[in-house]
Amino acid sequence: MRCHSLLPLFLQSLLLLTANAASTVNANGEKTQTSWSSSGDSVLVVLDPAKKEDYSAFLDGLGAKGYNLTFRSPKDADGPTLVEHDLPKYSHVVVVAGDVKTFAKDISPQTLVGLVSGNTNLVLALGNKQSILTSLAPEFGLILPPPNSNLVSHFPERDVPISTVPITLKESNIPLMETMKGKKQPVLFEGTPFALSSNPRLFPILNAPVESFAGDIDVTSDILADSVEKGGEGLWAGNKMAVVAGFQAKGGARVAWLGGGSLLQNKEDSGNLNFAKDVAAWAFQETNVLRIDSAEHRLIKGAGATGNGTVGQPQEQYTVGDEIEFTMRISRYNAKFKLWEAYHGINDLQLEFTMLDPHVRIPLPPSPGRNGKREKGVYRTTFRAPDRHGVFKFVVDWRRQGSTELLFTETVPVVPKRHDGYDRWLSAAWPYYLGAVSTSVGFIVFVAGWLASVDERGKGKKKAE
Amino acid sequence: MAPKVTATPAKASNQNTLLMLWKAYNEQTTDRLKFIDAFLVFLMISGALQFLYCVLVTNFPFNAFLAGFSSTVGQFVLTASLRSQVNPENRSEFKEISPERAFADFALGSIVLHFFVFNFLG
Repeated sequence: MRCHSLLPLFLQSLLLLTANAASTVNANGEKTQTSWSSSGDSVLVVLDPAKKEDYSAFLDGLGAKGYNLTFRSPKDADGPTLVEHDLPKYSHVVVVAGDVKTFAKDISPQTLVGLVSGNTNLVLALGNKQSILTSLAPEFGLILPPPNSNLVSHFPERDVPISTVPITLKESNIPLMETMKGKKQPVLFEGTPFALSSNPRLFPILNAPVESFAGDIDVTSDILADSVEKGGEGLWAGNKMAVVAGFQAKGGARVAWLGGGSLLQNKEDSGNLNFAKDVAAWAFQETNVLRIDSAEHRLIKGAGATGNGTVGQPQEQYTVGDEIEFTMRISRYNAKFKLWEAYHGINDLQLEFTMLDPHVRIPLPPSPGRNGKREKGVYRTTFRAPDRHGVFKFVVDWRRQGSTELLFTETVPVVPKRHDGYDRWLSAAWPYYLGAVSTSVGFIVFVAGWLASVDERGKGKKKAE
Repeated sequence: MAPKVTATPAKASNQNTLLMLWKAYNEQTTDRLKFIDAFLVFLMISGALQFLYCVLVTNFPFNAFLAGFSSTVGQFVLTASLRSQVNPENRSEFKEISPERAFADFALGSIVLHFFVFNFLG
Protein backbone atom coordinates (compact mmCIF):
# COMPACT_ATOMS: atom_id res chain seq x y z
CA MET A 1 0.00 0.00 0.00
CA ARG A 2 2.78 2.37 0.88
CA CYS A 3 4.51 1.98 -2.43
CA HIS A 4 1.26 2.59 -4.21
CA SER A 5 0.70 5.82 -2.40
CA LEU A 6 4.17 7.18 -2.84
CA LEU A 7 4.44 6.39 -6.52
CA PRO A 8 2.37 9.38 -7.68
CA LEU A 9 4.38 11.65 -5.39
CA PHE A 10 7.56 10.29 -6.88
CA LEU A 11 6.28 10.77 -10.41
CA GLN A 12 5.22 14.27 -9.53
CA SER A 13 8.63 15.15 -8.22
CA LEU A 14 10.17 13.61 -11.32
CA LEU A 15 7.96 15.82 -13.41
CA LEU A 16 9.03 18.84 -11.41
CA LEU A 17 12.62 17.87 -11.94
CA THR A 18 12.26 17.77 -15.68
CA ALA A 19 10.29 20.98 -15.68
CA ASN A 20 13.14 22.86 -14.12
CA ALA A 21 15.29 23.33 -17.17
CA ALA A 22 18.08 24.99 -15.28
CA SER A 23 18.55 22.48 -12.50
CA THR A 24 21.17 19.95 -13.33
CA VAL A 25 21.36 16.28 -12.47
CA ASN A 26 24.67 15.00 -11.21
CA ALA A 27 26.28 11.57 -11.66
CA ASN A 28 24.43 10.11 -8.69
CA GLY A 29 21.14 11.11 -10.20
CA GLU A 30 20.58 13.75 -7.55
CA LYS A 31 19.56 17.25 -8.35
CA THR A 32 22.25 19.75 -7.57
CA GLN A 33 21.19 23.21 -6.64
CA THR A 34 23.29 26.25 -6.99
CA SER A 35 20.64 28.62 -5.66
CA TRP A 36 18.77 28.83 -2.40
CA SER A 37 15.47 27.98 -4.03
CA SER A 38 13.86 24.60 -3.62
CA SER A 39 12.38 24.73 -7.10
CA GLY A 40 15.10 25.87 -9.50
CA ASP A 41 17.89 28.30 -10.22
CA SER A 42 16.96 30.15 -13.38
CA VAL A 43 15.35 33.58 -13.18
CA LEU A 44 14.09 35.70 -16.02
CA VAL A 45 13.89 39.39 -15.17
CA VAL A 46 11.64 41.39 -17.46
CA LEU A 47 12.80 44.94 -16.84
CA ASP A 48 13.44 48.10 -18.76
CA PRO A 49 17.26 48.05 -19.27
CA ALA A 50 17.41 51.80 -18.62
CA LYS A 51 16.02 51.23 -15.08
CA LYS A 52 18.25 48.29 -14.27
CA GLU A 53 20.55 50.38 -12.07
CA ASP A 54 17.67 51.25 -9.72
CA TYR A 55 17.23 47.58 -8.89
CA SER A 56 20.90 46.63 -8.64
CA ALA A 57 20.92 45.82 -4.93
CA PHE A 58 17.97 43.46 -5.21
CA LEU A 59 19.28 41.79 -8.37
CA ASP A 60 22.79 41.45 -6.96
CA GLY A 61 21.24 39.87 -3.88
CA LEU A 62 19.58 37.27 -6.08
CA GLY A 63 22.86 36.64 -7.87
CA ALA A 64 24.60 36.18 -4.53
CA LYS A 65 22.08 33.52 -3.63
CA GLY A 66 23.14 31.54 -6.68
CA TYR A 67 20.35 32.37 -9.11
CA ASN A 68 21.14 32.55 -12.82
CA LEU A 69 19.64 35.83 -13.93
CA THR A 70 18.57 36.41 -17.50
CA PHE A 71 17.38 39.86 -18.51
CA ARG A 72 14.87 40.86 -21.07
CA SER A 73 13.42 44.16 -22.05
CA PRO A 74 9.60 44.26 -21.88
CA LYS A 75 9.33 45.48 -25.44
CA ASP A 76 12.04 43.26 -26.89
CA ALA A 77 10.15 40.82 -29.11
CA ASP A 78 13.23 38.69 -29.86
CA GLY A 79 14.40 38.32 -26.28
CA PRO A 80 14.65 35.02 -24.41
CA THR A 81 11.34 33.20 -24.58
CA LEU A 82 9.34 32.40 -21.47
CA VAL A 83 8.06 29.10 -22.80
CA GLU A 84 10.04 26.62 -24.84
CA HIS A 85 8.60 23.43 -26.28
CA ASP A 86 5.44 24.06 -24.28
CA LEU A 87 7.40 23.95 -21.04
CA PRO A 88 8.28 26.95 -18.92
CA LYS A 89 11.91 27.77 -19.57
CA TYR A 90 12.62 29.53 -16.29
CA SER A 91 11.92 28.50 -12.73
CA HIS A 92 11.15 32.04 -11.69
CA VAL A 93 10.06 35.11 -13.57
CA VAL A 94 10.20 38.70 -12.32
CA VAL A 95 8.17 41.25 -14.24
CA VAL A 96 8.55 44.92 -13.37
CA ALA A 97 6.05 46.89 -15.40
CA GLY A 98 7.29 50.35 -14.50
CA ASP A 99 5.84 52.79 -16.99
CA VAL A 100 5.82 50.28 -19.84
CA LYS A 101 2.43 50.23 -21.51
CA THR A 102 2.84 47.62 -24.18
CA PHE A 103 4.80 44.43 -23.71
CA ALA A 104 6.24 42.13 -26.35
CA LYS A 105 3.60 39.86 -27.83
CA ASP A 106 4.74 36.69 -26.09
CA ILE A 107 4.57 38.32 -22.67
CA SER A 108 0.83 38.17 -22.29
CA PRO A 109 -1.54 37.42 -19.42
CA GLN A 110 -2.13 34.01 -21.01
CA THR A 111 1.57 33.11 -21.01
CA LEU A 112 1.96 34.26 -17.43
CA VAL A 113 -1.01 32.17 -16.31
CA GLY A 114 0.46 29.27 -18.28
CA LEU A 115 3.73 29.73 -16.42
CA VAL A 116 1.95 29.54 -13.08
CA SER A 117 0.21 26.33 -14.17
CA GLY A 118 3.64 25.02 -15.12
CA ASN A 119 4.88 25.67 -11.59
CA THR A 120 6.87 28.77 -12.36
CA ASN A 121 7.08 31.32 -9.58
CA LEU A 122 6.32 34.91 -10.42
CA VAL A 123 7.14 38.24 -8.87
CA LEU A 124 4.96 40.84 -10.53
CA ALA A 125 5.38 44.55 -9.84
CA LEU A 126 2.51 46.68 -11.06
CA GLY A 127 3.28 49.97 -12.76
CA ASN A 128 1.33 53.18 -12.55
CA LYS A 129 0.09 52.76 -16.12
CA GLN A 130 -2.34 50.26 -17.56
CA SER A 131 -0.42 47.23 -18.78
CA ILE A 132 -0.79 43.48 -19.12
CA LEU A 133 -0.26 43.20 -15.39
CA THR A 134 -3.28 45.38 -14.61
CA SER A 135 -5.42 43.14 -16.79
CA LEU A 136 -3.89 40.02 -15.29
CA ALA A 137 -4.39 41.12 -11.68
CA PRO A 138 -8.17 40.46 -11.57
CA GLU A 139 -7.50 36.85 -12.60
CA PHE A 140 -5.66 36.43 -9.31
CA GLY A 141 -8.41 38.05 -7.28
CA LEU A 142 -6.77 41.45 -7.00
CA ILE A 143 -9.12 44.39 -7.29
CA LEU A 144 -7.31 47.45 -8.56
CA PRO A 145 -8.40 51.04 -7.97
CA PRO A 146 -9.06 53.32 -10.96
CA PRO A 147 -6.04 53.84 -13.25
CA ASN A 148 -3.35 56.31 -12.16
CA SER A 149 -4.20 55.85 -8.49
CA ASN A 150 -1.33 56.04 -6.04
CA LEU A 151 -1.18 55.20 -2.38
CA VAL A 152 -1.24 58.52 -0.56
CA SER A 153 -0.82 59.27 3.09
CA HIS A 154 -0.34 62.54 4.92
CA PHE A 155 0.90 60.77 8.02
CA PRO A 156 3.43 60.77 9.49
CA GLU A 157 4.70 64.23 8.58
CA ARG A 158 7.82 63.80 6.48
CA ASP A 159 10.11 65.32 3.89
CA VAL A 160 9.39 62.84 1.10
CA PRO A 161 6.32 63.36 -1.12
CA ILE A 162 2.93 62.22 0.15
CA SER A 163 2.92 59.41 -2.40
CA THR A 164 5.98 57.80 -0.78
CA VAL A 165 4.41 56.06 2.17
CA PRO A 166 6.43 54.50 4.98
CA ILE A 167 4.84 51.23 6.10
CA THR A 168 5.86 49.44 9.27
CA LEU A 169 5.49 45.68 9.24
CA LYS A 170 2.98 44.23 11.65
CA GLU A 171 3.40 41.06 13.68
CA SER A 172 1.04 39.24 11.33
CA ASN A 173 3.37 39.89 8.38
CA ILE A 174 6.44 38.65 10.18
CA PRO A 175 6.10 34.84 9.67
CA LEU A 176 7.03 35.21 6.03
CA MET A 177 9.78 37.69 6.69
CA GLU A 178 12.97 36.06 7.82
CA THR A 179 15.45 38.87 7.27
CA MET A 180 12.93 41.48 8.39
CA LYS A 181 12.64 39.75 11.76
CA GLY A 182 13.58 42.12 14.55
CA LYS A 183 14.18 45.03 12.16
CA LYS A 184 11.81 47.89 12.77
CA GLN A 185 12.79 49.92 9.74
CA PRO A 186 9.69 50.85 7.73
CA VAL A 187 9.31 49.99 4.08
CA LEU A 188 9.03 52.96 1.72
CA PHE A 189 6.24 52.26 -0.71
CA GLU A 190 5.43 54.11 -3.86
CA GLY A 191 2.73 52.69 -6.08
CA THR A 192 -0.81 51.38 -6.30
CA PRO A 193 -2.64 49.69 -3.46
CA PHE A 194 -5.26 47.08 -4.23
CA ALA A 195 -8.13 45.31 -2.56
CA LEU A 196 -8.20 41.52 -2.25
CA SER A 197 -11.09 39.31 -3.21
CA SER A 198 -12.10 36.39 -1.02
CA ASN A 199 -10.02 33.93 -3.06
CA PRO A 200 -8.56 31.63 -0.39
CA ARG A 201 -5.31 31.27 -2.32
CA LEU A 202 -4.71 35.00 -2.10
CA PHE A 203 -3.50 36.67 1.05
CA PRO A 204 -1.97 40.03 1.96
CA ILE A 205 1.75 40.14 2.68
CA LEU A 206 1.85 43.85 3.43
CA ASN A 207 -1.22 45.98 4.12
CA ALA A 208 -1.52 49.69 3.47
CA PRO A 209 -1.38 51.93 6.56
CA VAL A 210 -4.73 52.64 8.16
CA GLU A 211 -4.64 56.39 7.41
CA SER A 212 -3.66 55.98 3.74
CA PHE A 213 -5.90 56.15 0.69
CA ALA A 214 -5.69 55.77 -3.05
CA GLY A 215 -5.78 58.82 -5.26
CA ASP A 216 -4.37 60.44 -8.35
CA ILE A 217 -1.65 62.79 -7.20
CA ASP A 218 -1.43 64.48 -10.59
CA VAL A 219 -4.96 65.75 -10.31
CA THR A 220 -5.03 68.90 -8.25
CA SER A 221 -8.50 68.41 -6.87
CA ASP A 222 -8.59 67.05 -3.37
CA ILE A 223 -10.05 63.55 -3.46
CA LEU A 224 -10.56 63.52 0.25
CA ALA A 225 -12.78 66.59 0.14
CA ASP A 226 -14.69 65.10 -2.80
CA SER A 227 -15.33 61.84 -1.05
CA VAL A 228 -16.37 63.56 2.17
CA GLU A 229 -19.13 65.23 0.16
CA LYS A 230 -20.23 61.76 -0.98
CA GLY A 231 -20.10 60.40 2.53
CA GLY A 232 -16.88 58.52 1.95
CA GLU A 233 -18.31 56.53 -0.91
CA GLY A 234 -15.86 55.44 -3.59
CA LEU A 235 -12.80 56.23 -1.53
CA TRP A 236 -10.17 53.54 -1.49
CA ALA A 237 -8.73 53.83 1.97
CA GLY A 238 -7.50 52.03 5.03
CA ASN A 239 -5.58 48.95 5.91
CA LYS A 240 -7.98 46.55 4.18
CA MET A 241 -6.00 47.47 1.10
CA ALA A 242 -2.80 45.62 0.46
CA VAL A 243 0.33 46.80 -1.29
CA VAL A 244 1.93 43.34 -1.48
CA ALA A 245 -0.05 40.15 -1.83
CA GLY A 246 0.85 36.51 -2.21
CA PHE A 247 -0.92 33.89 -4.28
CA GLN A 248 -0.35 30.17 -4.07
CA ALA A 249 -1.35 28.19 -7.13
CA LYS A 250 -2.68 24.67 -7.01
CA GLY A 251 0.50 23.13 -8.35
CA GLY A 252 2.60 24.89 -5.71
CA ALA A 253 3.79 27.86 -7.74
CA ARG A 254 3.90 31.13 -5.86
CA VAL A 255 3.04 34.55 -7.17
CA ALA A 256 3.96 37.75 -5.38
CA TRP A 257 2.06 40.85 -6.43
CA LEU A 258 3.73 44.15 -5.63
CA GLY A 259 1.84 47.40 -5.87
CA GLY A 260 4.89 49.09 -7.32
CA GLY A 261 8.42 48.41 -8.45
CA SER A 262 9.67 50.82 -5.79
CA LEU A 263 9.71 47.99 -3.26
CA LEU A 264 12.50 46.32 -5.21
CA GLN A 265 14.46 49.51 -5.81
CA ASN A 266 17.54 50.69 -4.00
CA LYS A 267 16.31 53.02 -1.30
CA GLU A 268 18.70 54.26 1.30
CA ASP A 269 17.64 54.21 4.92
CA SER A 270 14.64 51.97 4.44
CA GLY A 271 13.70 48.36 4.90
CA ASN A 272 13.02 47.95 1.21
CA LEU A 273 15.99 45.77 0.35
CA ASN A 274 15.39 43.34 3.19
CA PHE A 275 11.70 43.31 2.46
CA ALA A 276 12.29 42.63 -1.25
CA LYS A 277 14.66 39.83 -0.29
CA ASP A 278 12.03 38.27 1.91
CA VAL A 279 9.25 38.56 -0.63
CA ALA A 280 11.49 37.06 -3.30
CA ALA A 281 12.62 34.32 -0.93
CA TRP A 282 9.01 33.41 -0.32
CA ALA A 283 8.03 33.64 -3.97
CA PHE A 284 11.04 31.65 -5.17
CA GLN A 285 10.19 28.89 -2.70
CA GLU A 286 13.10 29.34 -0.37
CA THR A 287 11.03 29.80 2.76
CA ASN A 288 7.92 28.09 4.09
CA VAL A 289 8.42 25.16 1.75
CA LEU A 290 7.18 21.92 3.27
CA ARG A 291 6.82 18.41 1.99
CA ILE A 292 5.46 15.11 3.17
CA ASP A 293 8.30 12.61 3.24
CA SER A 294 6.28 9.56 4.11
CA ALA A 295 3.02 8.47 5.60
CA GLU A 296 2.11 5.10 6.95
CA HIS A 297 -0.57 3.38 8.95
CA ARG A 298 -0.51 0.19 10.94
CA LEU A 299 -2.67 -2.02 13.08
CA ILE A 300 -2.32 -1.53 16.83
CA LYS A 301 -5.14 -3.67 18.12
CA GLY A 302 -7.93 -5.60 16.45
CA ALA A 303 -8.62 -8.05 13.70
CA GLY A 304 -7.00 -6.20 10.78
CA ALA A 305 -7.24 -7.63 7.30
CA THR A 306 -9.25 -10.86 6.84
CA GLY A 307 -9.68 -11.17 10.57
CA ASN A 308 -6.12 -12.24 11.34
CA GLY A 309 -3.92 -9.21 10.67
CA THR A 310 -0.52 -8.98 12.32
CA VAL A 311 -0.50 -6.33 15.01
CA GLY A 312 2.10 -3.65 14.30
CA GLN A 313 1.99 -4.11 10.53
CA PRO A 314 0.32 -2.03 7.81
CA GLN A 315 -2.87 -3.70 6.62
CA GLU A 316 -4.39 -3.87 3.16
CA GLN A 317 -7.76 -3.56 4.82
CA TYR A 318 -8.97 -2.96 8.32
CA THR A 319 -11.86 -4.38 10.27
CA VAL A 320 -14.36 -2.10 11.99
CA GLY A 321 -13.21 -1.21 15.49
CA ASP A 322 -9.50 -1.74 14.79
CA GLU A 323 -7.04 0.54 16.54
CA ILE A 324 -5.03 2.20 13.76
CA GLU A 325 -1.86 4.21 14.14
CA PHE A 326 -1.08 6.85 11.54
CA THR A 327 2.39 8.33 11.17
CA MET A 328 3.51 11.10 8.87
CA ARG A 329 6.94 12.59 8.36
CA ILE A 330 7.20 16.19 7.25
CA SER A 331 10.28 18.17 6.39
CA ARG A 332 10.96 21.75 5.54
CA TYR A 333 13.40 23.16 3.07
CA ASN A 334 16.38 24.95 4.52
CA ALA A 335 17.45 27.41 1.87
CA LYS A 336 20.77 28.29 3.48
CA PHE A 337 22.03 24.71 3.45
CA LYS A 338 19.95 23.65 0.44
CA LEU A 339 18.58 20.61 2.19
CA TRP A 340 15.38 19.28 3.66
CA GLU A 341 15.16 19.19 7.45
CA ALA A 342 12.68 17.28 9.57
CA TYR A 343 10.10 19.83 10.66
CA HIS A 344 8.34 19.62 13.99
CA GLY A 345 6.57 22.96 14.03
CA ILE A 346 3.06 22.27 12.74
CA ASN A 347 0.63 22.19 15.63
CA ASP A 348 -2.67 22.25 13.77
CA LEU A 349 -2.32 19.24 11.50
CA GLN A 350 -5.43 17.08 11.27
CA LEU A 351 -6.03 13.54 10.11
CA GLU A 352 -9.33 12.60 8.56
CA PHE A 353 -10.68 9.13 7.96
CA THR A 354 -13.16 9.78 5.24
CA MET A 355 -15.87 7.96 3.37
CA LEU A 356 -17.71 10.82 1.65
CA ASP A 357 -17.72 12.58 5.03
CA PRO A 358 -14.90 12.52 7.53
CA HIS A 359 -16.03 9.84 9.97
CA VAL A 360 -12.99 10.63 12.08
CA ARG A 361 -11.25 13.99 12.23
CA ILE A 362 -8.56 14.18 14.86
CA PRO A 363 -5.43 16.22 15.55
CA LEU A 364 -2.21 14.82 14.15
CA PRO A 365 0.24 16.29 16.64
CA PRO A 366 4.03 16.30 16.48
CA SER A 367 5.32 13.18 18.20
CA PRO A 368 6.61 13.81 21.72
CA GLY A 369 9.12 11.02 21.11
CA ARG A 370 8.94 7.29 21.40
CA ASN A 371 10.88 4.91 23.66
CA GLY A 372 12.89 7.83 24.97
CA LYS A 373 14.02 8.83 21.48
CA ARG A 374 13.21 12.16 19.98
CA GLU A 375 11.39 11.94 16.69
CA LYS A 376 11.82 15.18 14.84
CA GLY A 377 9.39 15.76 12.01
CA VAL A 378 7.18 12.85 12.99
CA TYR A 379 3.46 13.40 13.47
CA ARG A 380 1.54 10.53 14.93
CA THR A 381 -1.89 9.66 16.22
CA THR A 382 -4.03 6.59 16.84
CA PHE A 383 -7.74 6.13 16.40
CA ARG A 384 -10.40 3.46 16.23
CA ALA A 385 -11.83 2.59 12.83
CA PRO A 386 -15.49 3.67 12.90
CA ASP A 387 -18.25 1.10 13.13
CA ARG A 388 -19.01 1.46 9.45
CA HIS A 389 -17.60 -0.58 6.63
CA GLY A 390 -16.75 0.72 3.19
CA VAL A 391 -13.90 2.27 1.28
CA PHE A 392 -12.26 4.87 3.49
CA LYS A 393 -9.49 7.35 2.85
CA PHE A 394 -6.77 8.63 5.11
CA VAL A 395 -6.71 12.34 4.36
CA VAL A 396 -4.26 14.95 5.56
CA ASP A 397 -5.12 18.25 3.93
CA TRP A 398 -3.26 21.18 5.43
CA ARG A 399 -3.52 24.54 3.73
CA ARG A 400 -2.14 27.63 5.33
CA GLN A 401 -1.50 30.97 3.72
CA GLY A 402 2.16 31.36 2.93
CA SER A 403 3.06 27.69 3.36
CA THR A 404 3.17 24.88 0.89
CA GLU A 405 -0.07 22.94 0.93
CA LEU A 406 0.25 19.46 2.34
CA LEU A 407 -2.08 16.90 0.84
CA PHE A 408 -2.00 13.19 1.43
CA THR A 409 -4.67 10.64 0.65
CA GLU A 410 -4.62 6.89 0.74
CA THR A 411 -7.53 4.59 0.19
CA VAL A 412 -8.09 1.68 2.51
CA PRO A 413 -11.14 -0.58 2.76
CA VAL A 414 -12.73 -1.19 6.13
CA VAL A 415 -14.54 -4.52 6.26
CA PRO A 416 -17.15 -5.74 8.73
CA LYS A 417 -16.22 -8.38 11.27
CA ARG A 418 -16.26 -11.96 10.13
CA HIS A 419 -19.07 -14.11 11.50
CA ASP A 420 -16.75 -15.48 14.20
CA GLY A 421 -15.15 -12.12 14.89
CA TYR A 422 -17.71 -11.03 17.45
CA ASP A 423 -17.59 -11.70 21.18
CA ARG A 424 -19.62 -14.77 21.99
CA TRP A 425 -20.55 -14.00 25.58
CA LEU A 426 -21.61 -10.49 26.44
CA SER A 427 -21.94 -9.06 29.92
CA ALA A 428 -25.27 -7.45 29.01
CA ALA A 429 -26.78 -10.88 28.50
CA TRP A 430 -25.90 -12.39 31.88
CA PRO A 431 -29.55 -12.45 33.07
CA TYR A 432 -30.45 -14.49 30.02
CA TYR A 433 -27.59 -16.91 30.49
CA LEU A 434 -28.52 -17.21 34.15
CA GLY A 435 -32.18 -17.81 33.22
CA ALA A 436 -31.34 -20.57 30.75
CA VAL A 437 -28.88 -22.26 33.08
CA SER A 438 -31.25 -22.05 36.06
CA THR A 439 -34.03 -23.62 33.97
CA SER A 440 -31.74 -26.51 33.10
CA VAL A 441 -30.56 -26.92 36.69
CA GLY A 442 -34.19 -26.69 37.82
CA PHE A 443 -35.10 -29.39 35.31
CA ILE A 444 -32.40 -31.71 36.61
CA VAL A 445 -33.40 -31.11 40.22
CA PHE A 446 -37.02 -31.66 39.29
CA VAL A 447 -36.27 -34.93 37.50
CA ALA A 448 -34.19 -36.14 40.44
CA GLY A 449 -36.93 -35.24 42.90
CA TRP A 450 -39.60 -36.77 40.69
CA LEU A 451 -37.75 -40.04 40.21
CA ALA A 452 -37.05 -40.26 43.93
CA SER A 453 -40.75 -39.88 44.69
CA VAL A 454 -41.73 -42.28 41.88
CA ASP A 455 -39.58 -44.96 43.52
CA GLU A 456 -41.46 -44.64 46.76
CA ARG A 457 -44.87 -44.49 45.17
CA GLY A 458 -44.07 -47.12 42.61
CA LYS A 459 -43.36 -49.51 45.40
CA GLY A 460 -46.62 -48.66 47.07
CA LYS A 461 -48.47 -48.88 43.78
CA LYS A 462 -47.07 -52.28 42.94
CA LYS A 463 -47.98 -53.51 46.34
CA ALA A 464 -51.51 -52.17 45.96
CA GLU A 465 -51.91 -53.88 42.63
CA MET B 1 -70.07 7.03 52.79
CA ALA B 2 -72.04 4.15 51.43
CA PRO B 3 -69.29 2.53 49.35
CA LYS B 4 -66.96 2.51 52.32
CA VAL B 5 -69.44 0.52 54.36
CA THR B 6 -69.96 -2.08 51.65
CA ALA B 7 -66.27 -2.18 50.72
CA THR B 8 -65.08 -3.71 53.95
CA PRO B 9 -67.25 -6.81 53.88
CA ALA B 10 -66.48 -7.32 50.18
CA LYS B 11 -62.74 -7.20 50.89
CA ALA B 12 -63.19 -9.56 53.76
CA SER B 13 -65.13 -12.02 51.64
CA ASN B 14 -62.43 -11.79 48.92
CA GLN B 15 -59.79 -12.58 51.48
CA ASN B 16 -61.93 -15.42 52.71
CA THR B 17 -62.23 -16.81 49.20
CA LEU B 18 -58.45 -16.64 48.65
CA LEU B 19 -57.83 -18.28 52.01
CA MET B 20 -60.36 -21.01 51.22
CA LEU B 21 -58.74 -21.58 47.87
CA TRP B 22 -55.29 -21.85 49.43
CA LYS B 23 -56.62 -24.14 52.10
CA ALA B 24 -58.38 -26.37 49.60
CA TYR B 25 -55.25 -26.47 47.43
CA ASN B 26 -53.11 -27.45 50.39
CA GLU B 27 -55.46 -30.16 51.49
CA GLN B 28 -56.59 -31.66 48.19
CA THR B 29 -53.43 -31.54 46.06
CA THR B 30 -51.01 -34.41 46.19
CA ASP B 31 -47.35 -33.72 47.06
CA ARG B 32 -46.18 -34.62 43.57
CA LEU B 33 -48.47 -32.02 41.98
CA LYS B 34 -47.31 -29.47 44.54
CA PHE B 35 -43.75 -30.28 43.55
CA ILE B 36 -44.65 -29.66 39.90
CA ASP B 37 -46.40 -26.42 40.87
CA ALA B 38 -43.33 -25.21 42.73
CA PHE B 39 -41.27 -25.76 39.58
CA LEU B 40 -43.91 -23.96 37.51
CA VAL B 41 -43.85 -20.95 39.84
CA PHE B 42 -40.05 -20.83 39.65
CA LEU B 43 -40.19 -20.89 35.84
CA MET B 44 -42.82 -18.18 35.78
CA ILE B 45 -40.78 -15.86 38.01
CA SER B 46 -37.60 -16.53 36.02
CA GLY B 47 -39.38 -15.80 32.74
CA ALA B 48 -41.00 -12.64 34.10
CA LEU B 49 -37.64 -11.34 35.35
CA GLN B 50 -35.99 -11.93 31.98
CA PHE B 51 -38.83 -10.23 30.20
CA LEU B 52 -38.60 -7.23 32.51
CA TYR B 53 -34.84 -7.05 31.97
CA CYS B 54 -35.43 -7.15 28.23
CA VAL B 55 -38.02 -4.37 28.34
CA LEU B 56 -36.34 -2.14 30.90
CA VAL B 57 -32.62 -2.69 30.32
CA THR B 58 -31.68 -4.19 26.98
CA ASN B 59 -32.81 -6.73 24.46
CA PHE B 60 -29.26 -7.01 23.17
CA PRO B 61 -28.16 -9.66 22.35
CA PHE B 62 -31.61 -10.62 21.25
CA ASN B 63 -30.75 -14.26 20.60
CA ALA B 64 -29.76 -14.65 24.26
CA PHE B 65 -33.06 -13.15 25.33
CA LEU B 66 -34.98 -15.44 23.01
CA ALA B 67 -33.07 -18.46 24.27
CA GLY B 68 -33.38 -17.60 27.95
CA PHE B 69 -37.00 -16.54 27.78
CA SER B 70 -38.17 -19.37 25.53
CA SER B 71 -36.39 -21.92 27.70
CA THR B 72 -38.57 -20.86 30.65
CA VAL B 73 -41.71 -20.73 28.49
CA GLY B 74 -40.95 -24.09 26.85
CA GLN B 75 -40.12 -25.71 30.14
CA PHE B 76 -43.32 -24.26 31.61
CA VAL B 77 -45.43 -25.71 28.81
CA LEU B 78 -43.77 -29.13 29.07
CA THR B 79 -44.13 -29.17 32.84
CA ALA B 80 -47.74 -28.03 32.66
CA SER B 81 -48.48 -30.87 30.21
CA LEU B 82 -46.81 -33.29 32.57
CA ARG B 83 -48.95 -31.94 35.38
CA SER B 84 -52.19 -32.43 33.52
CA GLN B 85 -51.21 -35.93 32.41
CA VAL B 86 -50.19 -37.23 35.81
CA ASN B 87 -53.06 -35.55 37.66
CA PRO B 88 -55.20 -38.41 39.00
CA GLU B 89 -58.33 -36.33 38.34
CA ASN B 90 -57.58 -36.32 34.61
CA ARG B 91 -57.11 -40.08 34.44
CA SER B 92 -60.28 -40.45 32.41
CA GLU B 93 -58.94 -38.13 29.71
CA PHE B 94 -55.52 -39.75 29.36
CA LYS B 95 -56.51 -43.38 29.65
CA GLU B 96 -53.84 -44.75 27.33
CA ILE B 97 -51.01 -42.57 28.71
CA SER B 98 -49.44 -43.83 31.86
CA PRO B 99 -47.70 -41.38 34.23
CA GLU B 100 -44.38 -43.05 33.37
CA ARG B 101 -44.99 -42.51 29.68
CA ALA B 102 -45.94 -38.88 30.39
CA PHE B 103 -42.77 -38.34 32.36
CA ALA B 104 -40.65 -39.92 29.61
CA ASP B 105 -42.24 -37.55 27.06
CA PHE B 106 -41.58 -34.64 29.39
CA ALA B 107 -37.94 -35.61 29.94
CA LEU B 108 -37.24 -36.15 26.23
CA GLY B 109 -39.01 -32.92 25.28
CA SER B 110 -37.06 -30.98 27.89
CA ILE B 111 -33.70 -32.38 26.81
CA VAL B 112 -34.40 -31.45 23.19
CA LEU B 113 -35.54 -27.99 24.34
CA HIS B 114 -32.36 -27.40 26.33
CA PHE B 115 -30.26 -28.57 23.43
CA PHE B 116 -31.74 -25.88 21.24
CA VAL B 117 -31.62 -23.27 23.99
CA PHE B 118 -27.92 -23.66 24.60
CA ASN B 119 -27.17 -23.66 20.92
CA PHE B 120 -29.03 -20.45 20.52
CA LEU B 121 -27.77 -18.75 23.67
CA GLY B 122 -24.22 -17.64 22.75
